[in-house]
Amino acid sequence: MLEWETVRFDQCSEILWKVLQAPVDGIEELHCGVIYSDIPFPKAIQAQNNILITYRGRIGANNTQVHLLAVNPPKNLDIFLIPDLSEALACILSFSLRTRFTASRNWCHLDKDGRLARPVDLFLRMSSAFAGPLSIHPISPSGIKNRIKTFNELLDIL
Amino acid sequence: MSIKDFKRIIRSLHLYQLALLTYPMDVGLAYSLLVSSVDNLSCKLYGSESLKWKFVSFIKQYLPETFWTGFDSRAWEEDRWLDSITPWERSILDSYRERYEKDGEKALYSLKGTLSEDALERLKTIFEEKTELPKEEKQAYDHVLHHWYLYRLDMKLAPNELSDILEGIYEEVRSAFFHGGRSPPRSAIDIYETAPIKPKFKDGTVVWQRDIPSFYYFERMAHDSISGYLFTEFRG
Repeated sequence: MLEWETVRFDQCSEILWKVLQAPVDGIEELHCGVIYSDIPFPKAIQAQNNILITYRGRIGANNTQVHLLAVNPPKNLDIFLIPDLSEALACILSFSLRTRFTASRNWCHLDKDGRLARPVDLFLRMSSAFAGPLSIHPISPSGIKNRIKTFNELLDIL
Repeated sequence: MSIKDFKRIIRSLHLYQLALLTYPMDVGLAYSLLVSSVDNLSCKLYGSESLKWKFVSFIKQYLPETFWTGFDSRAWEEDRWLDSITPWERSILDSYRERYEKDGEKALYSLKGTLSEDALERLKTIFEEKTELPKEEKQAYDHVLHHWYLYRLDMKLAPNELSDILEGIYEEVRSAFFHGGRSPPRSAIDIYETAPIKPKFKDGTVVWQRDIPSFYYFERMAHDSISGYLFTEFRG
């Protein structure tokens, strides 16, 4: 893992904090941003023309699990030299993927001064409340499961 | 790209992001934020015209041709997701093939208003030669057969209607929400990209009038025009 110090914010639960602190195999090789998400992406996602987001598995403890998405931003893009990078990247990802990305600093790994330790090592999160594709059709995995479950329950009742 | 340009674009994308985030809470706010996202870029591009004129001009200038020819992105997304989670392959095309073998051209009668003459001829050739469609083409046929009603003329905008519709969006959605506190009409919350034509009473007579496009339809319009702008102005 690259050098950084992390700050725990009030909103971060004990369980999730332990999950986030757990060592993750392969992360040190990525040299790229890692996004915590509530939904898995089965395939790599092309964001814009030269930003690729790949699914790197999941980590978790007890009932709390997060999915890891890795984004490898091209270093020649000057946008990555801008302050408030995580917010900017969230905007770009939201626009590119047409979905609801947030970059709440509550979930970012920051140094003691409240700044991202390294510009390329940033943690974003898709908020569980708003995650998933744009459609209000329940086409996120959890949504589909819920719909199927409800349908099966209906069959049972009938 | 200069820092100034970058900040202007990020502000615009931030408004777009906020629109997506606030959609579950308030459709009027989300819709208006999308308008503001386009406004943010358009207001710097043109001279001393009104903001509404700039908004309309920006979208008309940068909206790519694919907006008119592309599929309904929400319906397409839904189909692809269903494809990815279902072990069986959806077989709408196969069911038409069976009906064609049994009833001939009658089986395709219901598609005449939906598919072009060329597409129908191609479909007949495929059925008669008993060839399989390439995967992408089959997906496209399946999609259109599945969601044929979304591609009727009374559900989608035509290019010559764009100016009027955009002015309507600016006044009846954005201005009405920000200045009058009014929510957008019911048509704004369709789950697909639609802008249906509906009959309305006006001075004792029936007038056929196109509704305000759904949020998703305008989201694609805003997304495509901003993408077109970025592609045109800042391409490598």
